[in-house]
Amino acid sequence: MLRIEGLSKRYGDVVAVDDVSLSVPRGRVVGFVGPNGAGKSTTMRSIFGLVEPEAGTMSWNDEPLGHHHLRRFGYMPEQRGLYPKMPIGEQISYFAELKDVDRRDAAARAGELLDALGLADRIDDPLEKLSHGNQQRVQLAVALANDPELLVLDEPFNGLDPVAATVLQDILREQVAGGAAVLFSSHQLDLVERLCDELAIIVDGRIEAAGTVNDVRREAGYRQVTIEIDRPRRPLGDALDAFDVAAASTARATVTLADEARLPELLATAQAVGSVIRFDYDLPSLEERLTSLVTSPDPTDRTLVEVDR
Amino acid sequence: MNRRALWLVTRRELRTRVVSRTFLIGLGVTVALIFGVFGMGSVLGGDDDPIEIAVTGSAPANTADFIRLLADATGRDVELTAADPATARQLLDDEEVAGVLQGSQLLMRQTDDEIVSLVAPAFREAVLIGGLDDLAVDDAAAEELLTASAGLEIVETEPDPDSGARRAVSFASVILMFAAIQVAGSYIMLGVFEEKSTKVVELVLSSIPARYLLGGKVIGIGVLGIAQVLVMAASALAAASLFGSSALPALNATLIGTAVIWFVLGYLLYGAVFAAGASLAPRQEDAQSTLGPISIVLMVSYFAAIFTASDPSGTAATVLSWIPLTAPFVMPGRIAENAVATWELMAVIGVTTAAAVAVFLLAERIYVRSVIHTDRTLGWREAWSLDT
Repeated sequence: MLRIEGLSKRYGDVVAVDDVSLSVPRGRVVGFVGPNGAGKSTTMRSIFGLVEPEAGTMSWNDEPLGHHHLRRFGYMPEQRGLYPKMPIGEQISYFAELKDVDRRDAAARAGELLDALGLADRIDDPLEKLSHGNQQRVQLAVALANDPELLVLDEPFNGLDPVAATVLQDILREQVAGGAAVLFSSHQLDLVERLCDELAIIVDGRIEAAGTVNDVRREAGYRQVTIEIDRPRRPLGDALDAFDVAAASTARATVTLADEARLPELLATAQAVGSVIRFDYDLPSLEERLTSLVTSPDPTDRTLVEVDR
Repeated sequence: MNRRALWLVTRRELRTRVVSRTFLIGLGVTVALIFGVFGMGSVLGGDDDPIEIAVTGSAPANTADFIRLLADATGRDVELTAADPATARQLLDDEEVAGVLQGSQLLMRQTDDEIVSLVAPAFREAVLIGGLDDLAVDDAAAEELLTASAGLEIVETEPDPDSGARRAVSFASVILMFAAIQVAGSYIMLGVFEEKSTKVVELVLSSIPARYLLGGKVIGIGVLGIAQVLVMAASALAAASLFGSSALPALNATLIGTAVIWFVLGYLLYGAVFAAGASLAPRQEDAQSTLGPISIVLMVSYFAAIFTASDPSGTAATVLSWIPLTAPFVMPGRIAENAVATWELMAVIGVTTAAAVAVFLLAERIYVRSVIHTDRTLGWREAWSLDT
């Protein structure tokens, strides 16, 4: 298990990461979600020693993280990049060898990965001869080249065509089934919901929510109630004065309800307007959760600055 | 120390460069150039020309006839010019003739066995025949004649046989050393730029520490550089023996060995600095400010060395030998000229090695700190104090 505790990093006056703690257990996919510049990449890069944190500890299987652990990790950086003139098969096995895989296994692994990614016939082509989408596939193959125990992918779905995205999802599931720990960042919340066992939402360098998808939705501390009325006697929105109405029309309203005890009161109010044909009571969606975390006023009043890493 | 990581990076550098068209073409052009220079020299001063000898009036009578006879008999082509001693000497100095026969002296710039083998017997015959014809023959006179006939004194006017060639080697070594260091340095530079501008450095450094990437790159390109120096030297040797150049005696194994040592030192000194300078900029286009000063230092050192190359034993050359930046350029020429005592050679190697190691470590510090920053150009001072 990867464990990050109290990680902090600033660039000059800009706080990139502020007291971030995060765990990625083996056999689990953890999604890392947040707006651009929130600190996702900084956190991921610090796992590989590419950022020197000011504070915080990192460990792998309870050993303090060191350079010797890197050979068990795979990484897909946000800034994609490989050697343009190097044949792709050689390239994948080179990066595998850098991670201590012996030469023959590295070459075999490169063949397997290119096979799985549908690039087997291009094995001797230099990277620059491939289309952008295929270069992304090679980038993924490089991240997987050493059959990593921990896979860290920074926006892995960016630049992938739908077919490659499906292949990537399958590969991630396979890796996790094989006992790997996976941490990936994404803006595509539907993907996160579908793929992740757990997620962490980071805003402005701070982890604002973490846990399973349902934990994070529940942590919001409120529920979303959607009400629909058949033949309303008066506009539903007007009748709900006493509640926090997120959206309303004559026959339909969405109410944010912090206190579950008020559910009967809400139902009674609705019934007074007309016959209730829908009364959904659900946790807010991940997207609503993220939006509310990003837009809510920041209690510590830190300056919101976009940091590129 | 992760030897495997170092070796992997070295191997990649070697493999990438050796198959690269630029490297092979560059090497081919160098070899062709060396052969061209020697070939041209051989055409201009070719061996098929007649042996030209000036004969002064004070030479024994009939010597010229005997020389011609002997030349015909042995299938050699000879061209004789009659001249007064002053003109003859001038012709010799101007390299218009290869030898001057004057009285009982044969003057050559350097001993040329071919001329000696032609002139010495002819001279003897001329003296003997002339003497026996003209004089009353008694035993004492005959003995005196025989002694005189054997008394051809051979005089060299430029007693150090290779000095001209050595001087040429001294110049050539400065130029080739500069070319070799410049080429290797730019390979390092372009390699660093490639890794930074494609951002692949992020991936490499997520696997191995930066110092192995630098080390492997420096070793790999250095090995290629040494190979290049050896190929240059070997082609010079091959061309010299093929075309029978007079530079051959100066191009010996010691000289080639020292050339490799000085290449390595110069390469370490400049190569690591090129790597550090390149690591400060995200792309080649942004590197003017960081690499400009390095190129200027390299050029100034080169010109200083060229300036002193005509006098490798002079004070200026001696002073430049003790400056590590210029030593790699100056020393091969001085060694070719035999202008360096062993103690001085050892001391200068020591000073330059110490400087190269120190500069390498400083450059490594800069490189390790700055190479991961692919977003903007850093200053030397800023990079120095960055966190790793």
